[in-house]
Amino acid sequence: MNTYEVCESYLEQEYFTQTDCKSIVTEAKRAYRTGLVMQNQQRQMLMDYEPVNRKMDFLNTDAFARSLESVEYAIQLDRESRVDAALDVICEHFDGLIYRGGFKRVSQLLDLVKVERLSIPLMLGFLTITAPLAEKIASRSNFFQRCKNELVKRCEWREELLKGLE
Amino acid sequence: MSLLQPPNSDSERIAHVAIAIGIGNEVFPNQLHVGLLHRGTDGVGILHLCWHLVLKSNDLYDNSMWWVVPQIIPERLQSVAMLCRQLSRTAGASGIPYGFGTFRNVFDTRTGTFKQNEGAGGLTCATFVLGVFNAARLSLLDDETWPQPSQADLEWQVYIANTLKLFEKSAVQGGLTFSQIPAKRFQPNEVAAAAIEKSLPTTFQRIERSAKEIKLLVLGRYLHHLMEGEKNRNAVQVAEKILKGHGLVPNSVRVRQQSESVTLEYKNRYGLRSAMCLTLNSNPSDGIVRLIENKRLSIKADLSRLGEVIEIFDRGKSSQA
Repeated sequence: MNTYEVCESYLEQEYFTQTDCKSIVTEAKRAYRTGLVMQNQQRQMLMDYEPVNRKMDFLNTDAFARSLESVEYAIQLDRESRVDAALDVICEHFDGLIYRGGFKRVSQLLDLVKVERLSIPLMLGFLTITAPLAEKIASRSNFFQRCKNELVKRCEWREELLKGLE
Repeated sequence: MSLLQPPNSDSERIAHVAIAIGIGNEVFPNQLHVGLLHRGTDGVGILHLCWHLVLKSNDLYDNSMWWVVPQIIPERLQSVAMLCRQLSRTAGASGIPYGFGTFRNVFDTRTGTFKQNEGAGGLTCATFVLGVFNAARLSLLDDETWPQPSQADLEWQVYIANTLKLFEKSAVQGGLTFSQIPAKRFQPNEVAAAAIEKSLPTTFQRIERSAKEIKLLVLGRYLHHLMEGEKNRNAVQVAEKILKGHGLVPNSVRVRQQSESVTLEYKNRYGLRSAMCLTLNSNPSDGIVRLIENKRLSIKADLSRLGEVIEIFDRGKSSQA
């Protein structure tokens, strides 16, 4: 298992200790120092540490509560017709949340989002940003179905709206 | 083609995203360049992959390029614009390598970065655009229908790989890029032509003709732009007709004007074919254009009337054959 895969495996886990994080970072840095890695891999390895470090931060903060606040803020912007700004909030925040909190947290968050409160672009924003992780986020398929049902309810359903976002 | 907007069109009409196409480098007008125009809070910005690890973003669009709004519903384009802004914010940090790898699943949408670890291999300006659409789960074209690379495509790919190897920063990537040759080539004009299609993803067969038209349109406009302010434009018009009539595309253009004589040099970029150099003399008062000198091309043509081109022989090519 290479460094990247080890880091990814840590991110898959919901619970792990700071000692786990520290050991992987130490090991990777040692490989970096001793020249065990090629020059073109070094930059990648430094990037690899980042999710681990961010997850360590997450353990020390109440980031999930802040995530909920951010989603609420995005919905507020959406209602004020500042849709692009709302999408940017979602985009930036989901990114950070996945990095720091893992997929289970994102799954919990998606469960809490009330699709009735979302405009169509914001729904699509949620679906687009989470699409590559669809298999890893347990509640996403349910979220997709809820979006679809909501669109039907609003008489806005068109196939091309959600095509490819399953 | 009416959907393709010329330079200086009102970019306020871009609600979310458009595909921009133009001449990337004026020294090499054969090399078209493509990028994404996206609406942000400050106006319309442009996001484009210029070279290895050089993603230019957040520049306000200066109306210098052609653009087309893809035939996709606006709600989905809004998501593409969201990803463009995300990439603008983050992709500069990790960089996007230049190469001939796949454009599928190359961006990590959660971070807006290029996935270095999955054998993606790098992007060109055209595959960067396709990659962004792919990240939004939208497909402009069916890459399975794209032809295998032509001789000219291979020459271009070797040229790019060699150029990457020249610089320390990109030397490793140059080596990787060599290993990707031969690769299917997706050209900027083909991406723009795909965006015009109503039914997406489109096939190569459907856009082949319109892609060529777009290329000539952009080059034609460029030649006019080149001659702006010059007193004699007839020679350029004839040269343009020669190019169009015979499918010739200048790889580099230089214009020199001395009194009534306009010299247009069309040079090939990759050094495998001979350069062409036409010198045309044009009289603005009667519109008659005469061929004064042709260093490499043998043109048996009666150029006595503007635009009348009868026959062209490329002696350089014949002698090589």
